[in-house]
Formats: sequence, structure tokens, C-alpha cells
Amino acid sequence: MPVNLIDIMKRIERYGAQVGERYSNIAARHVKVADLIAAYADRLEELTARFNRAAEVIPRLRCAVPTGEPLDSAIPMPDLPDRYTLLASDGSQINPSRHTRVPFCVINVSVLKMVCGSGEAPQVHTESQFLDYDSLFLPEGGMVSEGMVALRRDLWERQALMEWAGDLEHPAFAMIDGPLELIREPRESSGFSRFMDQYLATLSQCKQENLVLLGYIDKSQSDLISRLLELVALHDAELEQYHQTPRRFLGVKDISFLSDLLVNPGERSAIFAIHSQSAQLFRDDLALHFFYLNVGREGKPHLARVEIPKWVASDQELVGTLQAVLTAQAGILGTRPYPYLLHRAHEEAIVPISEHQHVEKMIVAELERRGIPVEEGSNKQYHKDLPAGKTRYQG
Amino acid sequence: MNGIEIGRLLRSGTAGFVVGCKVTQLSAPSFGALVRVPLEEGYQVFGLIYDIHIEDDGLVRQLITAEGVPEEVLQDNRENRNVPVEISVLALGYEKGGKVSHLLPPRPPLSLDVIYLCTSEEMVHFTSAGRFGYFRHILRDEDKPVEELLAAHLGQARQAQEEAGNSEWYEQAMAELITLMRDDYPNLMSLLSAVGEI
Repeated sequence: MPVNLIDIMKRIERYGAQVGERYSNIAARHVKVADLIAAYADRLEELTARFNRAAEVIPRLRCAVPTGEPLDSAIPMPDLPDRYTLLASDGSQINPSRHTRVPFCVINVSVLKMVCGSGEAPQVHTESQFLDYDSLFLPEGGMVSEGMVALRRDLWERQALMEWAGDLEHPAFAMIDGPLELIREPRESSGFSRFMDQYLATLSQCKQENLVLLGYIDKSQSDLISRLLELVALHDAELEQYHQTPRRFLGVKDISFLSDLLVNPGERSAIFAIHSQSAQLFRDDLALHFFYLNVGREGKPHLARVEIPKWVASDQELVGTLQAVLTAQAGILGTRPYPYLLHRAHEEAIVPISEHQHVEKMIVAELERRGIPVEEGSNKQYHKDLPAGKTRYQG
Repeated sequence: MNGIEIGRLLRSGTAGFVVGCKVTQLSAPSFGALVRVPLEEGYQVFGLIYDIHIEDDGLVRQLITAEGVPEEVLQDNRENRNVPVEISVLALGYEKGGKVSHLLPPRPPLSLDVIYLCTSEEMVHFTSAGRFGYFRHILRDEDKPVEELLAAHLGQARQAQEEAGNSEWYEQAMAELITLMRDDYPNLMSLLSAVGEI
């Protein structure tokens, strides 16, 4: 049965109206946020005091914290150094599934290292981790979740950067796709704190090697600055009811108002610290900070969010070089700016479905060689794997 | 008798085969070059390169929109990425037990067989055998740029033959082609025009 287009067409009209209404509400809030940016641009002490007061009464507060640069800063990038090292890491995984003939998990991570200015092709390292059968199951029963596999992959992506860094020509930068903060669930699981400890050790190692580890977030949905300004707009009594009351600036993303400020390629916003429950796990020199960067072209701004640790945020010269490096990297992909090396890491790391099937066949062959009976895949999976019919969308 | 390796076999049939090679290997093979695929002791297949094809992909298309492509990115795409360079080869004959035949090979090469560029001696050896029977295979396929292919081949073979002291080979080859193409005046004229540019 194909999609009922006639029915959908009727509903699309209503959908369009809802979008229009939501957009006009957000546009009104956007104006208020932009006004507050202008009003509080240099009143950072007042803002910080307001944040401190809010942090006392709001237990799970998540927002930006000013670090000393005016809110409406648009700081240009310096010239790119002649030579520097750039690393990028990305990973993908085959999640264990009860629908396959045998459950198994593979995590694939690729690291690319490029010495910019050398004229040499980047080095490519790809490593696959095939998880032991025993580690696929939880002590309390059941299979490890996709969230846990993703967490393991996130950690390994970061560790692999250090593992493959080798001798570095400085300045040296290492990129991952997404935030530095590990925001995956389940944070409560026993494994999370172990992963976190290993991650913090990797971050410390990066600092020792003077390797700038950064998280690059494209099309950021973040509203950390917007949330900070919301605190100013709330009365003290409202602060105490923060989680029970509707958000004042709901839907106003940081990039929406910063696009009006960061108009020139390579310009960055002020640097902010991140205040959140999970960000508090990153302490001292590793405390998480971020800024927005216009990696677009003249007349076509495109803002990315960049997360860095405090030791980098405190070094203006290093941050400036980072601006220039990321802008140059994103510029390589022309009309759709995104760091070239990160894209290449993704390209190298991805596990295609054909390889998934190949690994499964190898495992089945090993089990059969040992005389271990192998179950069939689920009937659901069997039917899903049948050659695509003429009417079904395979997305 | 190994030579310059230009790639490995991707797919094949009796009448021809396709070779895959790295961009870094691309300086050796050229349009109209004679290649050989050793299959087993004393048996090898000969063919003529009639197409060198470089596929694009999404990333390459995106890179084209950038203002400048850094050298490192250029090298990355040429050395690290699987830029698929495909070389199409027309089968011309084979050699078995030291005897060259201009018939199609009894069986095609297999996946990943190594393809070598023929040396001048090998080219003389193959093109001197029989009476230009391999021209049939080139003239048969109208979908290929036959006249250009013949001109490229004749130019390379003529040089090899003359270096070997066979100065009459080229005239004999042209006489054979004129005979074979006598009923196809437009293409014969096109061939003569192409050969005139050698």
C-alpha cells in the first residue's frame, strides 16, 4: 500500500499553518534576544551575577557563561600559518541486533592526519574493533544498547586521535564531529563513569602534547546563549520555577541571531563556557568552552559551533589560528562548507551494508565449523531484506 | 618478462576486459597502447586500450565548487581515495606456447589478474605475427572511436617496428586496412585523415 498522498496533502495545509505560526512566534522572541544581546553586550558582570544566582536555584541549569568578551563580538581571523598539523577522527558501528543470525558488534574508527603546507597526501588509519561475544550482554540480562555502543565509539574516536597523532608539527589541531561533551545516554549506567575517566585522561594527554582537540558542530541547534539571556528576563521567583514554566525564548537558536553579527568569513563570536550537569565533569583546564564561527563565504554566512577546552580558550593566538584553520578547511568543500578532513574521516569510517553482511557470514562460518547450531535471522529481518518492491521507500 | 604494471583486472569477457588502476599508475597507459595479461605458463592475452575512464563522485563534484584545492587535498583524492580509474581493453589475440594467434582468446583473464604494458619487443612480436588478423577485432566495433584507435596503434607500432628494422611494416599495415575498409569509404577517409596526423 503506497503512502496516502491525498490524505497527506490535506494535512500538509494544516502543517504549513502550524509552521508559519511557530516561526512568527520565534521571530518575535528572536527580536527580544537580539535586543538583550545589544543591551548586555558589555554588562558581563551583571550577566555573570545573574547566572550565579540562577545556578544556585536551578539544579539542572544548562546555559552559556560569559568569559570576558563582549556578547556582540565579531572577531576576525588572522592569517593561516604556512604549516600546521590537522587530524580528524570519525567512527561508525554495526549495532548488535536480535534480528540477525548471530548478534555481533563492530566499531570502525578512522583517523586522518594531514600536514597542511607539506603538499603531501594525508595519512589514513582505519581500525575495526570486533567486540567479544561476552561483552554484548549486560550482567542484568539483555543486550547492550545502541547508546552504549555509540558511547564506546565516541570514546574510541577521541582516543584514536591521540594514538595516531605521532610526531606533531605545531600548531596541531584534532577534530571530531559533534560536541566534546559526552551527552549520550545512559549516563547512569556503570560503564559511563569508566568511559568518562578514560575520556578525561585522553583530553589531558592532548593538552600535554599541545594538541588542540575540538568538537565541530554543523547546523547547531544549540540555544545556550539564548538560555543565558533568558535568565535576565526572569524574575527571581520565576527562577525557582524554571523547570515548571514555559521557556521564554523557546526555539531561538544561537545561530539565528549570531548570523546578523558574524557576517564576514572567518569571524567568530565571543567565547563562552558551558554550564550543564555533564559539563561539570570537565574541570579546570579541561572545562568546556565554545564559540560560533562563520565558515561560509562572502555574502553566504554559515555558522558552526566549535567546542574547545579551557586551556585553548585562554590562548587568544591559538583560538585565532583555529578560526583560520577551520575556515580554510570548510572552504575546501566550496558551496557546502564543512571541514574537508572530517568529511574524509567519515568517508573512511563508514561501514556499508555489504560489509555488515560479509562479517555476519564469516561469523556463521566459524560457528558452523565448530558445530555450533546457528539460528536463522528473524522473519521480520528476512522480509525487510527481500529485494525492494516497486512501491516502498527504503529510507 | 615482466614490464610496467598498469593495474588489475576488474571484469572481463571474451572480446575485452576492464582494468582498474590507481591514479598514480595512470602515467603509463595511453589510448591505443598494447597490453598483455599473463594468465599461466606460456599463455597470455593481448589487447588494445580503447578507453580510459575516470569516474567522478559527490566529493569531487563538491571540491570543484571551491576556489582553490590545496595540494594535500589533491594528493588525498589521487592517492588515498578510491577514485575509480577504469581502462577498457579490446582483446586482440593471445599467445600460447610461443605461438601468437589473432583469434579471440579461448578464455578471458580472471579478476585481479595483473595487466602489463607491452614493451617494444612484445609489440613487434605480436603485430608481426600472421597477416594483421587482429585488425578485424578493431574494425568490428562501431561504437568505439575506430579510426582514432587505429591511428594511435599504428603510430606506436610503426615506431617499434622501425626500431626493430622492419621499415615496411607500416606500409603493409596500411595496405591491409585499405583492403579491409574498401567498402566503407567515409570511415576509410576518416582513418587516412587520422593517420595523416601521426
